[in-house]
Amino acid sequence: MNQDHDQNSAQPPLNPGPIRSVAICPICDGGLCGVRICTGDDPTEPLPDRGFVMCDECEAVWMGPDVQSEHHYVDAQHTECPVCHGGLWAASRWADRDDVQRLGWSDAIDAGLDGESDV
Amino acid sequence: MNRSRNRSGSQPFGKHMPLGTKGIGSIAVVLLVGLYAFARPHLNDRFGWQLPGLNQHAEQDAFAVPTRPTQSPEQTPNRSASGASDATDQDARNSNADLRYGLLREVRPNEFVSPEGLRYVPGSAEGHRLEHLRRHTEDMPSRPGKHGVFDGGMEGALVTIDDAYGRAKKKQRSTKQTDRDRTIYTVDMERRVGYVGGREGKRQNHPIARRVKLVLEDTIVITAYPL
Ligand SMILES: [Zn+2]
Ligand SMILES: [Zn+2]
Repeated sequence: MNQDHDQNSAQPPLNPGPIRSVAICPICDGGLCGVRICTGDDPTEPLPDRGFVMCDECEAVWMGPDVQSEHHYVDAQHTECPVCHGGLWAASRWADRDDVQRLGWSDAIDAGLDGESDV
Repeated sequence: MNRSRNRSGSQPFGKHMPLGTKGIGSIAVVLLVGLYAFARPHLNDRFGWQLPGLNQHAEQDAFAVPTRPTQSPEQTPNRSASGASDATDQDARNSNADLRYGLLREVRPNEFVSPEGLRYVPGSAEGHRLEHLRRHTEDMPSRPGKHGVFDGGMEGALVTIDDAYGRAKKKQRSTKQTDRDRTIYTVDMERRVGYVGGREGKRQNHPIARRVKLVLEDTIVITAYPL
């Protein structure tokens, strides 16, 4: 039970979260509404290349970059990608700068919320 | 900086254990405990530290949790290390040794329930809601925006969250917002429960956090963090 002391060696690194975000979450106030991109759950199929926005705290989901629009939530126990319905964490990833550009969502990005890996 | 703050908070006098005879050692421990108990609130108030109370459960309303691993890690190095309890003490094993973080009962494989009835299940980017919660037990200084950090590591976070949920159920200094299947509580804990980290917290010199945001689906904890 000494994880406070062994934290650096015993625990995996903390998940860094979104790379590019459009806002601080208007629902929970603490999460980042990060852009995710569906990578599909079938490697033999071409990439769907469709994006969505998700809060990394409350897991609210928007199908476009406007977080004032209609949203839903990832199911707590059956987390699935809202695009391809594969497993959320396997079938989608946080979108990087190129992904966001390809999606045509660059204008919606709040650069002040960029994650470190893409700054 | 925050990490060292956390460490000193979770084991405040570990470095000062006397090395002499047992008798002198015991007296010294008693004196140190007394001194610590006396000085802690003053130090916390003055410096905004997070030194834990020696009997924090009593301060935080009544949960029947017999021990508090954050305060006595040396007594619970792991679940099966104590030969004495292996042999006979079935009750102790059932009541406490099997509790995850000294608080959570495993009701199904990988599914944990707190004394107040909150459930921690597999899910989230980290694979388990408890692992997501772990993000909020240390600062992420480069994270954009604010990042709430609970005092007291996982044990401290879980106790605080349960306390917050207890208050929310009693409608005590809390707001409740429901949206589809999510319920979001903001609970004023009326005491320090952590601090605000992340890039924005750093810019503001890590303000003290006295409120808890709790996001639930039914009784499943999606996330919780101080603010
Ligand atoms: Zn997908
Ligand atoms: Zn959110």
